Amino acid sequence: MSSPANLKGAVEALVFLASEPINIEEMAQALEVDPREVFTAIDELKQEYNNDNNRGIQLDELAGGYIISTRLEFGEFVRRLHKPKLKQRITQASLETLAIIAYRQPITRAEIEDIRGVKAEKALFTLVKKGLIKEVGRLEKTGTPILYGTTDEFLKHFGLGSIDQLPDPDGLRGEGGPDLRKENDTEDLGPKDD
Amino acid sequence: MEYNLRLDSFEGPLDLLVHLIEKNQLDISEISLRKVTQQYLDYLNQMEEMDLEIASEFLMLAAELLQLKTKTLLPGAKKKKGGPPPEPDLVKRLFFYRKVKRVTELLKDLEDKRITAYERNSDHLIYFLTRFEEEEKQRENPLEGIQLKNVVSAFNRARIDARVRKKKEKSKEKKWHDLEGETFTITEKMEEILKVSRSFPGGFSFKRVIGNTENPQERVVTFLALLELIKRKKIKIEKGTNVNKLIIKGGKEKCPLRQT
Repeated sequence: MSSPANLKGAVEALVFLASEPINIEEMAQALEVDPREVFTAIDELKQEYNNDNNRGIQLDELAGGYIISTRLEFGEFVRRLHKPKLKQRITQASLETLAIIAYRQPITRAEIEDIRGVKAEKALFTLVKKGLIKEVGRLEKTGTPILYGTTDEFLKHFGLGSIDQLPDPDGLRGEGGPDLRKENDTEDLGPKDD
Repeated sequence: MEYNLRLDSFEGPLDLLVHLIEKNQLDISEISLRKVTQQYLDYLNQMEEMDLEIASEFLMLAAELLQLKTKTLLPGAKKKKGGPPPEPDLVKRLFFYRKVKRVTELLKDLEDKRITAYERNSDHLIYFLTRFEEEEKQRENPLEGIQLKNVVSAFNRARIDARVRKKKEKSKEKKWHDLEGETFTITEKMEEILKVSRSFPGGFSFKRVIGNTENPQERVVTFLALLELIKRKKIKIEKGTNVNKLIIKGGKEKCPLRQT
């Protein structure tokens, strides 16, 4: 067992065959090199692939790993020949629920429903079934409601390397948000408060 | 009808409210909420035929809006103890909801950028490996050019055919029974009896003839043959020693039976 003479080529080979995002540590272990070397190699590869518009494939960081995929613009042709399992778009109702979970995780169903103003049960069921969200714990509260969070599948679906790559122009992730449960308790019920 | 279609595109009462506020080019505030309350209620009037669960959520918000409006109308509510009145909870929720809507759009953009980028996965590989096999199978489609209606009519025809055939078979069965009857012809039996009578010149018992028969039909035919022979005087019947015994004796003349 030894390290490859051409590390970049070896890294390319490893990523080429991976069907799930493959992370740097895994590759470093297989290649018996320092993870930093792998990172340098993969970064170079990424530049080569993604800056060359003549290529039909791209290399991306997805869900904490690296994966090669066909380029977006060739999707139609790929579908014609290979008929890949189509990625299904998420419906508007589910997408809104998913957005709330993505930006406010971990979060309970009741909190999601408070934000949306409508029931979220169906959307949650769909999202769990699609593997985009999962139970990440229980809130220590009456009824110990399920806390939901996003999955690696979510990152893959939206082309994100990690949850920190979510665009957040309004600072929704850090914001306190309307703590609805609390406010309901001390709700201003009108004149009698005086 | 037109309203229903429009309502369908709202994700909920908050969505509708944000829409109304933006449509009226207002900022989210308590004042704008009061301004759009009537419009909101107008929408609800169009919702009578909507799903009850959705409607109840919309109604809840209507109640909230009316409560807000009522507060400003009641004299006691106007005077708060110093300072500006706190923002209603609903305003905060709307601000927050609008942000959610914005990031939902961002997620949609991200999805668009990834949706047709296909990763290598086992599904692809399995598909690739079995593709030619599948194509081969498709080429030899055993049902090629056949439509459902063809199958249905063929089935119906077969059913009718089967019914007709069954009927025919039933009638054939009857005929076969008739033929079976014919297998024991009187002529045959007459010859048989004569043959026996020749072997037993001293006569033989009636029972010997009838007793050998296998079924009632043969018995009847044999009996008829006997009667015919008697009529033609080919044989004679005599009472035996026992009262119940009949003795058959052959005639002396040898003449062909089938003369008529």
